[in-house]
This record gives sequence, C-alpha cells and structure tokens, in this order.
Amino acid sequence: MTDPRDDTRFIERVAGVLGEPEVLDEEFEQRVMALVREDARPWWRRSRTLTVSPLGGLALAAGFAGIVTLGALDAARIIGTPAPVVVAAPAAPPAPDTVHLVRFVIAAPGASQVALVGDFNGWTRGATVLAPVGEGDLWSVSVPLAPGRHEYAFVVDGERWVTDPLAVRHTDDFGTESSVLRVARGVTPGV
Amino acid sequence: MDMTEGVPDAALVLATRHGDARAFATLVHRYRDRHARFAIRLLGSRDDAEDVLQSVFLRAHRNIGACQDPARFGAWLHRIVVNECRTFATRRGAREARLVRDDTVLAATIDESGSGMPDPALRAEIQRALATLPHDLREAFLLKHVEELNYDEMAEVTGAGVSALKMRVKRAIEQLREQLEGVMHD
Repeated sequence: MTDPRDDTRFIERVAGVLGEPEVLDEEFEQRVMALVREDARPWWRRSRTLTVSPLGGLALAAGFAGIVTLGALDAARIIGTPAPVVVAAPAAPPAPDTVHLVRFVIAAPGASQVALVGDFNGWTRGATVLAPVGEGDLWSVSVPLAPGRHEYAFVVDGERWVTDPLAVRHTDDFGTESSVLRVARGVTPGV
Repeated sequence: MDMTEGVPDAALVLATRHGDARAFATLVHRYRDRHARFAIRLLGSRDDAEDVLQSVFLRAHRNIGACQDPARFGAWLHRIVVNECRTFATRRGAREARLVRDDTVLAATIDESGSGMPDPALRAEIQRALATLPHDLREAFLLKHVEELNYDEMAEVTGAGVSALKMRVKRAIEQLREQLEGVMHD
C-alpha cells in the first residue's frame, strides 16, 4: 500500500506542472465578442457574410501564416466567426520550405458535415473534413501548407459550396469561385 | 482603465442580460485563462481548447438567462466548460482513436530556460501520462488537484456523485503513478 505522504508528494509535483498558467492570445476576446455580437442580432439582420476580420488584418500585417475563414451556411442561421490565426510554432526562424499549420474555422450551425477543398488537397471533397467544436456550431481543421498562394473553399453537407468572404476571391475559367490564401515565408509564429 | 474590472460577476451577468456587451467581455476576460488551462490539459491541444472555449462563451452568452444564481456565474460557466470539453472529446474520440499528445502543448510546456522550472523532459512525460488516462479520470484529477475544487464543487460542475468522483481521482493517481514510475524520483 502506498504511503499517503508519498501520494501527497507525487500529486504536488504532478499538479505543480499541470497547474502552470496558460494565457490565450490577446485576440481571443475579440473573436469571442465578434461571435457573440453576430449571434445576438436578430436573424433577419444577420449578415450573410461577416465583413469584419480583426485577425485577418492582423495576420496579414504581421505576416503570420494563418487564415481567418468564415462561411455562410444559411442567412437565417449563420454565425459570423473571425477565427483564430494559427499556429505552427517553429522554435527557429523557418527555412524557405517550411510548412505552416493553418487553422480554418467556419460557423455552420446545423451542418452535418463540412469539408475543406483546395489546390492543396486536389479539390477532393472527402480529403479534409472539419471537426465540430463543442455542440457543432463551429467547425475547424488545421492543414499543413507550404508558403505561397493557395485556393480553397468549404463544402457544407456535401453540396453547398461556400467561399470565404474574408479572403480575396478568385473565379476560374468555368465561373467557379474560390478563396485565395497566401502563406508567407519567414513568418513569426503567433501562438 | 476598464471601469468594469472590479464589478462583481452578478452585476455583469445582469448587465449582459440587458444587452451590455462590454459586461460580457469583462466576464470573458475574467474567466478565459482560468478555463484555458483546464481545457488545454484536458484536451491535450491548445487549438482544440481555444475552439472549445469560443463555443463555451458563445453558449454562455446565449443562455445567460438560464444562469439562476448570477453570483455563481463562475461555477455555472465551469459546468459548460466541462460539458463542452466532454462533447468535444467524445466526438474526437469517435473520429480518430488517437493518443492525445499534441506537439503544440508539449512545446508550450517545455521551458528551455530551465531556471527554477521543472525538468522539461519531466513535464513532457507528465503531459503524456495524463493524456493516457480515460477522459473521466483526467477530468476528475484536474478538477481536484489542479483546479483545486472540493468534491461538492466537482459534483456540481460534472454532474457526477461525490463517491464516484473520489474513485475517479484515486484511479487517476494510481494510473499516473504507474505511467510515471521510473520517471519521477523522490
């Protein structure tokens, strides 16, 4: 049987490590409040697309490898979400061929499946599936991307093509719209 | 200086109910990091924890009218955090039977400077050991020994009985001991 004093020492050491504080980035509150404000609007006044991108601007300005994404599922149910910018955290300055982890987040309440398609996965619908967060109003996925220009879009419930209203749009020769993301080289990680 | 900084939770909850977004922002600011630690440790991923916490605060704002005792907003919010983490973990578990070992968390945990901090390797091992526990044991251990809730408070936020929680904490410690045998020396 273990000596209770041993247990106490053991717990103190483990809890000491696990109890170290964690601090979320300063933009966390902005993201939450943008969500809350959009959610609090009467549904008929909600945006089909959210045009404010506090982190998007910051991300570009800071040269982060990240993207802010938002999709509009349904005008009556959409919740705008300026999403977190992410977050590969290399310890040293990245080499030119560094791959960055880019987090895509979309608000799609009521959706049963959300996929990300883009040139990085060959526009394959089942290749990159977003995971529901909590009860499933938000969906997210992190994707490793090389520096450079990427085109992408979301596919909601296997059929609804949703571009990112916060990103530059591109229309291909067949008239299909997608969004454009540029992953910078030599980024400073912003966790 | 933010004028709402020293305002009690109850007043902020009532103001939020009347549409004061700044009051709710103060509540977010007040509780974000406290719950971030719990969610990061429990889910093993900073990104997942941030997503869950966004969802938590959105849900809290939507249902602020259901907070029956505004003075105990913290406990009410904690219950939402626990439930959202549980839902997220269940879905993630169904999606990918993965060992929750996230390099971001480990990297964030390891302090290369050393000065007065625990050995980085030990910290990584503790994270790894914690990640191997079943969710309910991990949750109970964190609530008891990291968040330092008493058993009644734990019962309130988890919905589990006190005796079940005591058993979970006991089993968590046993399993952590087993996992960390040979790593931690007295």
